[in-house]
Amino acid sequence: MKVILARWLLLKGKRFKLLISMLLPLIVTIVITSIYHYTSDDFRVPVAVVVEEDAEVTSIIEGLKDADYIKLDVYDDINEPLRNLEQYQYDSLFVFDADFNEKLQNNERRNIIESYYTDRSFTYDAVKELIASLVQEEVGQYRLSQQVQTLQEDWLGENNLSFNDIVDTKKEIEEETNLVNQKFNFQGQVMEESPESSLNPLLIYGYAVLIFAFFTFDFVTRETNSETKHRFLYLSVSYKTFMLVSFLSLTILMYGFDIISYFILMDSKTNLLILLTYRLVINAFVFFTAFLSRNILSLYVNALLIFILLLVTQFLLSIIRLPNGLTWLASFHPVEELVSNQHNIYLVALVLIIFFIWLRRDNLVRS
Amino acid sequence: MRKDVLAMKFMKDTGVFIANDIKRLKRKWLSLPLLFILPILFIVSLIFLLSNLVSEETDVDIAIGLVNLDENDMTKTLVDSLSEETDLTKGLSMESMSIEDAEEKIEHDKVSAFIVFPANFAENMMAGKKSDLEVTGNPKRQFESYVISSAVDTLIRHIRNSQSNILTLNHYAKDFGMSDEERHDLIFKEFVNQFIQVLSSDTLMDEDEKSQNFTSGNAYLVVNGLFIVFTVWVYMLYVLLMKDTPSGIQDRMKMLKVSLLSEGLGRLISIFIAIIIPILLVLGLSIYMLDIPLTLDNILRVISLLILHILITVVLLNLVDWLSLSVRISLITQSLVILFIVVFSGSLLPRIYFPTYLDKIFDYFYGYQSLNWLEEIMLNGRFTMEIDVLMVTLVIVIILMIIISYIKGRRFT
Repeated sequence: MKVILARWLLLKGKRFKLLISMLLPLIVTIVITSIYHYTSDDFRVPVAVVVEEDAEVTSIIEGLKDADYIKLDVYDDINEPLRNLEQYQYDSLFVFDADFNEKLQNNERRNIIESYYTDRSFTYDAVKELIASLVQEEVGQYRLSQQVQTLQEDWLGENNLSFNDIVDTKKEIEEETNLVNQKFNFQGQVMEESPESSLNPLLIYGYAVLIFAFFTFDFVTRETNSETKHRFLYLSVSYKTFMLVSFLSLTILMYGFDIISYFILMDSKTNLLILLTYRLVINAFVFFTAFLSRNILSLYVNALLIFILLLVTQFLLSIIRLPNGLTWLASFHPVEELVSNQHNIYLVALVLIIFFIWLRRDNLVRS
Repeated sequence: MRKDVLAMKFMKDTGVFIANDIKRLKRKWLSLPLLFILPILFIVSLIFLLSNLVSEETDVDIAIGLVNLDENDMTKTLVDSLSEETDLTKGLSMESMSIEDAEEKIEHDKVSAFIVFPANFAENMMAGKKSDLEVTGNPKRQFESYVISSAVDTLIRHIRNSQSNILTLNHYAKDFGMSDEERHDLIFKEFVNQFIQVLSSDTLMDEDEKSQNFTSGNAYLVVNGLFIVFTVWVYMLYVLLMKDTPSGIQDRMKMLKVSLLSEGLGRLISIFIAIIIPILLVLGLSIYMLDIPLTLDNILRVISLLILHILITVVLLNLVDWLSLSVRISLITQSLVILFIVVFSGSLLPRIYFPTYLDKIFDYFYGYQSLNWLEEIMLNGRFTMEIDVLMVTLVIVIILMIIISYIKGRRFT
């Protein structure tokens, strides 16, 4: 108890800053995710469509406008948009010929749309698929109406259904019935909806925890390199015990903030225990880095380097698949483990071993 | 003191700071290689990823299992044609298998995902009852699974479309009094027909690629990547040279009339000296490897653009440093500045994809201007450049630097 009191007294004048740096991960995560959600819908793909005279493609244009990731410009002549495309002002360009509808009605299926893209078109394939499916819908409707009309002719000998009647009936039926859906989940996990590539708050929170842990534990560097340390030689409590108690009490304090953040930020899919072990691992890691750093500035520089290193390796892990025998390497990346919702067993074990050795060495020296 | 003496002293002080910074950099010889290699590693992997996404010919097929639990002929035909045809889904190879097989293959990392057509799939579909395609992804290959999920989305869009057409046909056939058997026959035939059409839907487009044919697509990624690397280098060098001068020494420097400006200028010059050689080396190497034809005056243009960019960036970092109350605030703000430069230069995502209300930023932002003209010259073979924005920015930040150093220098005396 006395040790904790000493800790509290030694932090005099820094307590408020300490509190702020514990609260900041939550705030930063909220700010970044809300900026992301606020702006990400406004990032659009500029697509140009040329509709030549006589081409009746209203429903296709409507379908394109409905897709919220597309910023659509419609032209009636190809020259201007093509020039803009060549200057990389558009992602892609699609041309509906004057005889587009005629080709559709004649059931022609080859090259009925002309498309242009550049070597910098990031989303051409997605837009192409969308247009293809819209055209497919159109083709299907023509085919359907022809079939229904011949069917009526054959069975009733009448011919009073127009193309529009049939399309209307089709729309009614679409609304009344359940159409096929996709259910996506990973093997071994139950997840009902299809995966989204939205920003995971855990990712932001994980890195924010790392950065601000360096700011919280900078007193370790300061005190290790100061005169205070030498006084412990005359006390019954060793310097390392004191630091260990400081570490544990601060970690417990931070757990409070983690639990608050957990209820504010995370959904039920996240495991609180995983978040708490992540915090333990990160704190221990930062603690030792702070212990070994020569001064505050070099601690911060180390923090920055470690941050960038973790960011880069996480990025690498997401694109390069590790060879089969080496997949365990990924479990040493704390943030990656946190994001993929896995327990950090190796890392926790490693932390415990390092603490043990660290304390043990001290005892050996003293005896 | 006389003016020329003051100027002499200023230059001498700057010289001392430069010598000191260089000496400190030399002492950090161990971290320097790491500093230069790390960003390059990062960018190489980025380019590797993007060039795989952009170019269509992905060498590795993503393997997908198809599991049919439905006895219906319709589903059988559908699954068979899916596993035979690969047109619909470029880069995906599909194979039909039993559910036990599929689960085992995911365990052994042999397939990236499998799609299950549940029992009574076709029957439910035709009756308008709820029927779902279940996609099970391989947890070890999450990235690929998302690609598959979007491919399945396309597939489902086509199936839904055929489904509603066939339901409509069914509706009319009932109305017209067709017998059940005949109707089932008709619908089965029609479903298969529609589906085969869907599978060949990529012949709809007559596709043309337009480019300025000056350089290949990879060069674009390399130029953007290099821009990010150089910007990050500047920042990392700056951070390595940051130091907390004890207040005692600060007081002594003030007494000797050493101005803050000479310290800042010294920092600017020493970072410039340290960074220009690696930049020229990497730039020259990539121009040589990519085989970008550049005339001598264009090479000079590229170099001067880069020099302006570096100078402005260092001065900006320095301004943040001076204006921040503590080292940690300074580091965080500087990281944000670098992030801003990388994002709003358009190096990660081109300008055209940004929301319209952010578009104005690009016109006045030096980062975008430098990258844009680098691209124009290196990729599009232009022989001109406009550096108005860059020059104006440089002048503004230098004036700010002088003003702030003056104010800060005066405050405590």
